[in-house]
Amino acid sequence: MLQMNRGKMELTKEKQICIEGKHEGHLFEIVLSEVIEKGYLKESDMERIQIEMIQLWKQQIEAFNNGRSYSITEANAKRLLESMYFTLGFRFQALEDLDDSITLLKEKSVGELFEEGQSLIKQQFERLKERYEELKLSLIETDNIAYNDTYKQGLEPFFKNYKLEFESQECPSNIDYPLSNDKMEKVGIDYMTDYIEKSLLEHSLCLKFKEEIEAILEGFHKGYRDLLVNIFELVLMNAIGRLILKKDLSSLYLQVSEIEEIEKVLEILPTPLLNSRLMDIGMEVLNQLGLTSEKIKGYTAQTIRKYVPRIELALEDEMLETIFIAQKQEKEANIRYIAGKRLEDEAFKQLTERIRECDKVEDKINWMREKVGHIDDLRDVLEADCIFDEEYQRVYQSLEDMELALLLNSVRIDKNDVTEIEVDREWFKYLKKYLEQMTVERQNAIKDIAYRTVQF
Amino acid sequence: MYTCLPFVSKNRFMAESILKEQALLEILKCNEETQQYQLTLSKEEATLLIDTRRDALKATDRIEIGGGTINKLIEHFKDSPYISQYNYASTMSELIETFYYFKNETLDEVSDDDLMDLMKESFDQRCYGSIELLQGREMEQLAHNVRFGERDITSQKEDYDE
Repeated sequence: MLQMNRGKMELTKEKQICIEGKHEGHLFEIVLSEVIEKGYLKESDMERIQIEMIQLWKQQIEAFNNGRSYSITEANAKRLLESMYFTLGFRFQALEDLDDSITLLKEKSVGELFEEGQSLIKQQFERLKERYEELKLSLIETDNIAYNDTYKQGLEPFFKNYKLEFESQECPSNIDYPLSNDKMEKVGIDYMTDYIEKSLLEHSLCLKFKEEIEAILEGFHKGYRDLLVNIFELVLMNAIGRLILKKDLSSLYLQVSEIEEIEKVLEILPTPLLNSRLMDIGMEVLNQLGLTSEKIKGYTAQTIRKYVPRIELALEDEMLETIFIAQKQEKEANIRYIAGKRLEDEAFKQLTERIRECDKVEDKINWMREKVGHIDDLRDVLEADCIFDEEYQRVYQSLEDMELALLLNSVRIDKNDVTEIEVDREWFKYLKKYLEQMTVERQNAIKDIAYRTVQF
Repeated sequence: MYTCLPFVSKNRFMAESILKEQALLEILKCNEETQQYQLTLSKEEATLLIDTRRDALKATDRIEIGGGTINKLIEHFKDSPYISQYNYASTMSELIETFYYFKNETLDEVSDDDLMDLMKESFDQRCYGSIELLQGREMEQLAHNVRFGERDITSQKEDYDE
């Protein structure tokens, strides 16, 4: 049995037509070309179809010129012809069987097929208007400019300016926001249908985490407002990341340290296994969120397939944080550290001298506790040759996690990378040694505090 | 003549033949109307006019299907005192070239009928059958008026009448 789906035909070998990858606006031309080439139409049918095509083109030119002119500029004539092809192709898209196409070509005039194509496009247009209204109700709050421009203004012109009669292959709209899987080869109402349907699919996932979208975008890049970034992909990947870590999907939140854990899980998987593992987890994400339609499953699978090579590359380059985003969660937002007053030079000098004079490390710690109110002063004291060797260990034991995190921050070069730090200083070598003695959980907790702390 | 025929390339020749045949029949049908003015076109002459149109359309990057414009020109000029059987085919050929050239030059702002009316009026009343005057003076002025947004695109008439 010959099978023909919208924009894709799967046929038996002898009647196989390959249109995959070809310009879908020319479906009619492709069908016709193949049918003629393989001898499914008689010479007389071919001649009739040609004459009818020419007559239709002539009518379209006259209608376009509003009866004022027989001739037309070549550019406009080509546009009219493309529109004719698209409308006729739309009539054939609706068929499921190539045999039906052959019958249709034999039994109906080109003019009739054109009218039926127009009628089908009109119906599609009305359906699409309803879907667009649904989409408008499911938008998420974000400052991303491409998203807002596209969904709040860019699609509207299509519903006001789409010209079925002469420009059915055009898609009058201003679309900047990139979909995860955009079929750019589609044209006219086909492209708009594809864009809106896929947008609805993407939003069905994004809406499950609508409170966290801004945080995840912020985590992706500080300049996210101006970027052309697909939000669905970021949400999906973080959701997958959460399940890899055996966390629930109540949130998309990932810590930097957790991304390292994800890396450990994924880096040992060979490509086929990585693909199937991510696919399984992706489907589990949808399942847990109650998104069970075949469409969303297929669409998500497409995105995951696209991401596998990117993830492999990211693992190779140790850049997995570009795939799984460590974002600042609302409920665990930035920790605001309000520093105390810094010591005057004279006071600082007196303090370091007193500490230096102390025999017992406990006394040194007491002096520090009493006088130091700013993390930079603490760091200066540690560097002022008044604490020595094993005393560092004792000093660090007296500090709370928050203070240790602040110390880490004071030497961190890049806030996003807590491991890249200046390591030459003695106090830091002891700090690192001290941290390494801790449990992994406590180390991660301190790193996380360091990551989220903003000093005022 | 047709740079993008509505068919797949291997059938282009067939489509061109069909179009030409269709146009030829339409033009020859005009003989029924023009006979009363002692004007007739032979099949060869009609074919030549179609070739002229093909070249004119190509030169002006325009497309036309059927013999519409040639028929209309014949209809407009059949009663011109400056056209006889002797110069009928050659004059029509030049008028076809003139028409398409100035269709573009007037930016498609003037309809076929209006442009032909203006050509006919100028040809008969101010150019006395001279194609050179029609092209170089009358139609150039018309095109200028259209391009520069003159309220009355035929404003030249008064100037030349004076």
